[in-house]
Amino acid sequence: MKDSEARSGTALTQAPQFPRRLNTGPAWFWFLLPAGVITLVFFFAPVIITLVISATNMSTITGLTRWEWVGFGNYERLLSLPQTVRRFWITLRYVLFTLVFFNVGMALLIALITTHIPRQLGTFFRAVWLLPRITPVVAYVFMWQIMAAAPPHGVITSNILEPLGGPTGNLLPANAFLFIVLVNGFIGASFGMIIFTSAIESIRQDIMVASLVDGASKLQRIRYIILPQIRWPLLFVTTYQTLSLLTSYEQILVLTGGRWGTEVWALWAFNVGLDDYYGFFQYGLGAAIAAVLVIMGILFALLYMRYFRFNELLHEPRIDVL
Amino acid sequence: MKMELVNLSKKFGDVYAVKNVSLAAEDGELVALLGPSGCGKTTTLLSIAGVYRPTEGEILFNGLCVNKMQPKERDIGMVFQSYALYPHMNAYQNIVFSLVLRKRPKDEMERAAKRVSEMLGIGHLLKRKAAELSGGQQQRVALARALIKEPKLLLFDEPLSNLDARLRLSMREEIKRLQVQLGITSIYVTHDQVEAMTMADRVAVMHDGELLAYVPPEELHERPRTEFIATFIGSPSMNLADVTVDNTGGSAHAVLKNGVSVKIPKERLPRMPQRGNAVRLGIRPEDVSVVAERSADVQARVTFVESLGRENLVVCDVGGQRIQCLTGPGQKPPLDSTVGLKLDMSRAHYFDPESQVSLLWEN
Repeated sequence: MKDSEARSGTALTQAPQFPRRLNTGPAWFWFLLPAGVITLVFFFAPVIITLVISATNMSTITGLTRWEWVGFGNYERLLSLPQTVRRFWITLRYVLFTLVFFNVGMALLIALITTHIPRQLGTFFRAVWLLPRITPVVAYVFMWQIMAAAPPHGVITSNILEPLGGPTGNLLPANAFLFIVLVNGFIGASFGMIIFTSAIESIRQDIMVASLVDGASKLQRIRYIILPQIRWPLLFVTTYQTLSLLTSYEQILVLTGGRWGTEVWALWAFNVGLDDYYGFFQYGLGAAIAAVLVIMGILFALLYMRYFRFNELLHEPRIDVL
Repeated sequence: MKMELVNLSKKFGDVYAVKNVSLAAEDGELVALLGPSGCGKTTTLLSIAGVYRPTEGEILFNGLCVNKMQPKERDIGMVFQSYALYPHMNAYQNIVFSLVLRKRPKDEMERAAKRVSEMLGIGHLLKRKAAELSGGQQQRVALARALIKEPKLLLFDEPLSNLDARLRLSMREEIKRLQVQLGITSIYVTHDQVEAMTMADRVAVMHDGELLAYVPPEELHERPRTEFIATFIGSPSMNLADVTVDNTGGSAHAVLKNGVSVKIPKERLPRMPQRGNAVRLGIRPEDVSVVAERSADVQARVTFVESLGRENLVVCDVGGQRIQCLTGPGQKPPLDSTVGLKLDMSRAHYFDPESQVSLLWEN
């Protein structure tokens, strides 16, 4: 801490000075070292390596030895590729729909409903919503495939659509986008649900009572008391889920493999860089596609922080001795 | 508005938090619900507020049963021990919140907020958030928030308990003054007997969910109906001693276990319990004085002396019986000395040792 700050501080600074060795000595360095190393090796290094590879023409043809620097060549190629714009819109729509309708929207709805019904019932419903998350991905996606399949195996087609005389083919190709949103949303909703529920339940009881006495209906209480009080968890879940949706592709890979207009950006990076049918993996181009994702992620994070006024949610600690 | 509780009971699971309580607060009256923690006073208050549904019995507002009414339909204002200001709103937004919910026009809100904030002297604080206000200021904002609705009934849940001693005194005065001035029927929950005695028109003493007494404050102190009330009201609390009443030969005497007997004045002679003549004698510390040995009723050994500033609390031992007395500032007998005690038996109380009911006052 700077001296000027210390002087303008509270009466605490007037008290006998504690030894300030923590501030001046190298202790802070050793305290930060383990976390620092982990951050560097596992968070920064992959980003740097991705950026470095994205500036090369590395692929299965060049191997790890005969590659060449291409500068922004891969990015220029990205811009000229006809798929790029399409992938971009698919990703944006996928993230937006899943986020709004499930990971934040549905999560908030479940949290609000299950905290306004008898407690045990609420716990039961929340437990049900956790099932998709604890089911192995392949088994879970397989259930969706059965759901969408053509008769006689398809759950929806043979039980609902066929008796009603509706279409009887496999539902997946025609509604692939809807299905990838549903598949991801049903998993994603439980994360926000848990966080929102605990945030709602930790709102002080006297404030809830005061709002009732002040004349708030249940809906008004949600709007004027609960939502403002859980702004911080809302910010966190929105940010976190945006970033994880941007980079998520496993469910889509298993469900559609990217067919029928469901190849989102992260899946594209995977397909180009690591999963070509003919074994032609373009590491350089794949890394460039992934790097765009990293930049998009950072931009979203900054946008959210500004919009939610992140700084105002944190208070400077008043303890001076640390 | 007249507020009545008729055989009100509230159960949580199998436990009665409030049991068969009946009382009525007349229009403009301030009623204190007094009792130790867990006696059911706050449960009673929250039932009146409509936050809890009564298990049995009725709550009547001006004779109308409000059991099924939502809190917002009850026309009440409430002040909490924790102030319960909405942390994300400033003082002004807190105060006008009830009007915002009713979608009142903006200028009406501003006028109403001005009126109540001037009444409470918080006009200059309206832009501050709850966390930027001191405890006393927060409680004023909370009071303004309760008053802006012009409620028919004000509910106070230990509003002064979180304030420091000096502020508590001035707020006590202010709340009482406002309540009288506005003439709003009020229910005031407190565990502080001084608060209850000084502010309330009538005090309802609760214990284990039951209503033990519902009387004006003076009567609570002077004519306690049960041993619990006698010891709960008054500080330091009333001395109790098991005695037998000897009513043979002209005058009555209370005989302590160690054989010492004290004369009972005729006009203060208790009824006798159904069995035997053993009763419990109660005498307040202020009715026991340290006197010269020849005019004393009993001899006592001093075991502890506590200086309270204006007076001294002298704890004595009378043949194994502990008796506390309050003496003047100059009178501070040394520890382990023997002193004479005079008991003002014209102010003594008697209780049935079994039922703990007063043997002097009718229930």
